[in-house]
Amino acid sequence: MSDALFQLVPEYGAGLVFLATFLSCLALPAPSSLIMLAAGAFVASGDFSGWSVVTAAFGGAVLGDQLGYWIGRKGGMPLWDAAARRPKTAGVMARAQASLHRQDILAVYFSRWLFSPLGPYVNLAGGATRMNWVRFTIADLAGEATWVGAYTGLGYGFASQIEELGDTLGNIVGALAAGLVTLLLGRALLRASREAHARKP
Amino acid sequence: MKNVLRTHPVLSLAFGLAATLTLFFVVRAVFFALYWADPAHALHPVEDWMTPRYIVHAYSLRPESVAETLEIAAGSSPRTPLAEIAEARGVPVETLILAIEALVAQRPAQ
Repeated sequence: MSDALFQLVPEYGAGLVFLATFLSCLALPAPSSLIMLAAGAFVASGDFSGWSVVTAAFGGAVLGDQLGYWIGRKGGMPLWDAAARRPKTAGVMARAQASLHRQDILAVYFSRWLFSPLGPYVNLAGGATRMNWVRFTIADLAGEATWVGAYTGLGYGFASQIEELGDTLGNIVGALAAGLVTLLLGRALLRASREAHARKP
Repeated sequence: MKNVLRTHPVLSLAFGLAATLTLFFVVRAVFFALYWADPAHALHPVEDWMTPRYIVHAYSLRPESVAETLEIAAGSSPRTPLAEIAEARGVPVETLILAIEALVAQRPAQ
């Protein structure tokens, strides 16, 4: 499947790169990481100019993030609000919101690249919880610069092995994101069991 | 501890799913990293999505040899994948792939 994708990159160029990063930051299925790896490789080969690729990728990502944030801010998140109202989940949601608020810059920064599958949801949650827009944007710019730099850089440096890189990285990033969610859920579960234990006569 | 499975079934299930997913990705990551690190798999086979410049870069070939083999104008390096070049010439892309791989095999040992 990555074959078909890699073929689209030289054919549609920077426009495809822009669209891919834009859509993936809105939680729409777009294999932006693979596309950036390929784009980096085609910069190394001389088929693309580095500037056009980097600008397109970075611009698409930041625009997608901003849109996600404002959708969250204007539309709220019906599910989040509903969960925050239910008595059983209200506590968890309040703690999640507090954690997000305390670590807002780090959460935004690292969800751009290290835990990228979680990025779009951090955008929506950030907007819905009315995270300070300036802080959000600063962390977003830094994080997306890291993301674009890392993937196009890897594609550039390992141009002859982008398929292997794509496979390995995809699984590493998946493991990181799933691992983080596991840790957070595990912590919530532990807290719930301790509270239940404390309530025993 | 077992209590929490009963009092918080959804949370427990979500935790279980997340943990399984994590394990799944870790195993796959290790598998692919090991596969990739194996020297036998070091040279990636030529594929139909590669452009002439990409082939030159990835396999350290001379641009003139590649242009000649692909029968494209010397000095031109269109940003077109092999599949398209093959289609334009009316030949199956496997023919071009084999021709390039022959070029690669002829390179002096690195």
